[in-house]
Amino acid sequence: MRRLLLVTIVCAWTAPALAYSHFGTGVGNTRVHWTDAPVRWLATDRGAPGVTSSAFQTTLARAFTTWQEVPTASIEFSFAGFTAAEPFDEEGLSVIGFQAHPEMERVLGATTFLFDDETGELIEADIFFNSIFEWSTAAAGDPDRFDLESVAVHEVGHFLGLGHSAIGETEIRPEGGRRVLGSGAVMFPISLGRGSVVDRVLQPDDIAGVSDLYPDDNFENSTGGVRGRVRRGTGPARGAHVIVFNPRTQELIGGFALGDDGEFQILGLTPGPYVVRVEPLDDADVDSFFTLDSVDIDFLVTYYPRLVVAPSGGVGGSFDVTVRPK
Amino acid sequence: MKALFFFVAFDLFVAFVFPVSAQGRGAQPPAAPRPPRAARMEVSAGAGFLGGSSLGTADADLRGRGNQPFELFDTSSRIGGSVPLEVRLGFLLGPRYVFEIRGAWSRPALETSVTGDVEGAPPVTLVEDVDQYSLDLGLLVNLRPARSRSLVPFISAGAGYVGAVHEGLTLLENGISFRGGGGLKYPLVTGRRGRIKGVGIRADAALIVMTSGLATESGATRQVASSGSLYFSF
Repeated sequence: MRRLLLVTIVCAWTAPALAYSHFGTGVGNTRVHWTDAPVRWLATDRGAPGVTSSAFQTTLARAFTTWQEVPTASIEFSFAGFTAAEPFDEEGLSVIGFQAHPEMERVLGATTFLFDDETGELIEADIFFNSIFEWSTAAAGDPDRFDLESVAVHEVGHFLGLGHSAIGETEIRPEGGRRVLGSGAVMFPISLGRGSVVDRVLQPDDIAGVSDLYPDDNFENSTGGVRGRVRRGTGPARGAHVIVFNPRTQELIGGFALGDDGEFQILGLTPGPYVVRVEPLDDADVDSFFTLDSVDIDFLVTYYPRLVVAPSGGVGGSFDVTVRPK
Repeated sequence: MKALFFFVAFDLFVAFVFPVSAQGRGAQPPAAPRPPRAARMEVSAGAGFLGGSSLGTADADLRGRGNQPFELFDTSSRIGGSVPLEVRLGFLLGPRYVFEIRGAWSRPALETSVTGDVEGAPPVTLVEDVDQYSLDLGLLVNLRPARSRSLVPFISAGAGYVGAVHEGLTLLENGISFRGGGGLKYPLVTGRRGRIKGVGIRADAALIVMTSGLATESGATRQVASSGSLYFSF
């Protein structure tokens, strides 16, 4: 039976982290995605302190262009104009704008989806940016404000159907929440903070994710994948975060062991040999993302003892990574 | 490919032995002796050692605070040493020059060492065996004429294709190799009549530079190679 689901996904500046995934992972393995192009979006006709509506629209357009220009993906966007409609209204329009949500004191922005849970077809996606924060559209950023374009690129990733990436390291802040030490993907859920503009540029993990969701004609032939299982004892280590690293290109791309038997598969890799590193999702509150009944985080970081080859135009043979408990 | 090499060697052995013994059986009328025809080709087969080579270092960096990279872990990669099998087919362009086609196979290990994991994972070296094939064309210059039981120094250089097949035949990577070096030949027999004109042994040493293929994208690998071969001229 087809139902329309409304789901919200947030981007925070001190929030839990997870790894690169498609959003549909948590919704019955449906790949939530747009089926018709260009995808039309509208901007609210008001800005926020320090950001005019025109600067807001221009900045959002750059964020959409960043994703549109991924060479191995095929997706187009079109700005459909300014509107008085609000994000999160269910009117069949994809509206992006500022809203003040003081109760979300750690949330920079959020994206909501309205989609068919049988086909994964997106009907509507809205983005809001929390105007309780100070925003900047300055070319070089502003050390005292959050960079609108960086957060917009992240939210547009959700708008496309991407989930969060877990390629990043955090530490607990004394006052609560987490502080990012390093981030390897725009889709990492926690911002690097005020002044940072690094998330204007997509990382290999982001590119692999969007290319897998919207592959162009050459994507499958020009890239490869790896697959395997993460095992702990005789059972699976479900929810384990798997990172692959190409020493030649220095690409870091991640995935999760989400199968019933701890299976994972990571696509969109430059063909070649990879280092495979498995880590527990202990940098974050995993419940905020996965709908798995249980996620195993009680094991040590483990490297698979062989280099694993991503073939060109295919997926390599399956292998098992056995992790040891902490 | 190994099997092909053995077939070639066996076939050559038959070709060398059969005509020689057939000549011995024939009852030919005596004829005026003619000087033996000079050798036109050389075929050699042998084995050696191909030294390892660094493939460089690469850090798994995250984007850290203040535009400083945050290292997740470090890697250092290399090709291990290997024992190549090689065959050469040479066409003598005169007493000193030989145009050579060289084919080789070896199975080096591709190794990546991981250190400095941010979460304290112990250092580990990850390995993968690759089959490496090369086919190149080159020129060998004998620095003095070959005489039986005397050393003949030579220099040689060549360039060609090198391919690496990863484990499980999952991926073929193509590259270009350049080779330069020299060595010594020691003719055991020269000036024979019949199909085989000579037999000898040779030792080669070379520097092999490989670009693309297993080499890093931005650089080239340099490997020292040495080998010993048995050669036949005919």
